[in-house]
Amino acid sequence: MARKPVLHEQDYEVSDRAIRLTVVVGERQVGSSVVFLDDDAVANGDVEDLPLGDGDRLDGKILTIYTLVTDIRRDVDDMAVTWILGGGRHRVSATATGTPAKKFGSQMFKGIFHFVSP
Amino acid sequence: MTVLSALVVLLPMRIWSQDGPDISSELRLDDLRLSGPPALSLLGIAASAVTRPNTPRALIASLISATGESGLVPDGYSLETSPYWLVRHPALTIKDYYHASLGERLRYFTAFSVATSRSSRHDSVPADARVSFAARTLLFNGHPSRVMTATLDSVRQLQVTYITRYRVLESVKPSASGLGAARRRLERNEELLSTLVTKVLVGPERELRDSTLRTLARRDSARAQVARAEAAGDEVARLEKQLETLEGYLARFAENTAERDAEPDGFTLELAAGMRALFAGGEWDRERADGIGVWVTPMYRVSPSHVEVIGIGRYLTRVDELDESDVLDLGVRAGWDAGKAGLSAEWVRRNVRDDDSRSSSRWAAVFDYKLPARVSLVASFGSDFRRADGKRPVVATLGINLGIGAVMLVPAGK
Repeated sequence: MARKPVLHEQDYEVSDRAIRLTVVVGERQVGSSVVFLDDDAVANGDVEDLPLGDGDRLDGKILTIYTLVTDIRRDVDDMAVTWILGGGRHRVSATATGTPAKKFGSQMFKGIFHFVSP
Repeated sequence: MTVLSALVVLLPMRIWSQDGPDISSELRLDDLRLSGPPALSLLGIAASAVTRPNTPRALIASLISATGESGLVPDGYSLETSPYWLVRHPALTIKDYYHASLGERLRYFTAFSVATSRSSRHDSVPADARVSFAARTLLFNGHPSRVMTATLDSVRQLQVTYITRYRVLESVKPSASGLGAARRRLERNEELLSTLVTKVLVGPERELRDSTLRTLARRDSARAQVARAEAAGDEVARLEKQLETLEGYLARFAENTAERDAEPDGFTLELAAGMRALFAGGEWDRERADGIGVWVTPMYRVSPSHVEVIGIGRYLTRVDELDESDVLDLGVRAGWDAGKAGLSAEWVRRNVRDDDSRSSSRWAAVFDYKLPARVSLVASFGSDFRRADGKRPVVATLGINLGIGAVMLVPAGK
């Protein structure tokens, strides 16, 4: 049975500028992401400075990022995912950490951002 | 060692004098390489286990446990740790790691080691204690091989497939989770309907017909709900099985990646150095510097062409087995692998300081061919180290490697 994801959820205040997303898979592990805006998949793979659209058009939408990280380190199985959102009122950087259930296992990370007006 | 003497007459013999060699003819290039922490090599011992702590807590625990209750230097203790990896690095991506600058490489790949040993020639004499400290680093770390890059691409593709199915699973799961409640609701409606139908058929109460029809509609709705939940349950089971299969593939690829990580392509250069101290009788006041060691190991590998070139330079002072002489060992090996066949040439030079009679070189060309069932044929030809009588024996061997150790067809002469 698929394990529960490591979850991070928060609001993000948009502005009238373009919102951009970067996903950093740290701890020298390998990971891929799929990005959904409401129910639409907008990108997959490595996510770096991904334009999501102007802030005023994103207001009220939900950004969901699934990132699957696979442990490729022999000695350590630490995992970390950082979501970086820019273009809104503030730049936001949120990090979640986790470990796989077994050696060379994979762990799902799920970031949910609610776009809201200031 | 098993000897197949029947084949001896057909094969070239290994020729050397009856005098024992000054330099072990078993000295190979691989013997010069660091197989463990350099501090351990400086002591010339093999520790039963090398401690490699990767958290500050593990490091402290290891150091405390090593000293023991008596506080004496332990025998056969070895520890190697890399300060950079003692703490977590949530922002270090795999891309940054493989495209590191020189400064970053020094941080990533520098490791420090310590090893200790105690020995005494007589039971009545307190044992001498030897302690060595060393550091090693990679000045150049090459780049991921083409196979590793392809493996990582496969991992990423599988991860996207996994996420896509995981997302579907998330949307289907709530429907499947209501199956139990839907079944109970259907059961209640079935029972009620059965009662009502009986009453309508046998009794004169016409008003029960409307109630029966309503119950019939609820029963049909419950049936549809159960059918939907069952279908969702089947879908959940199917998706979970797929995810489990994908996790299995990912784990295998991940393990493969970890193995490939240790064998990068391109140019790598490892530098190691350390020093050894002797505490005579285990006393602090009788401490003296006991020797140093320096290792330089350049390597160039092109895995698509199956070519590997490795060089080794090793300088050791006060080597026990050479009557405390200083020694400089140099070696180089070039190898080419073509499917079942492999060809390599190796040259090793030993210079013993102030003793030319014990300085010599050895070279050999080695051919091996893989036979079925993990058996391989190995043949070598070359010139061995110079003997005490000034002669340089020819090395000419042919053997079979059974995968559990070599079985020589031609015995080594003594």
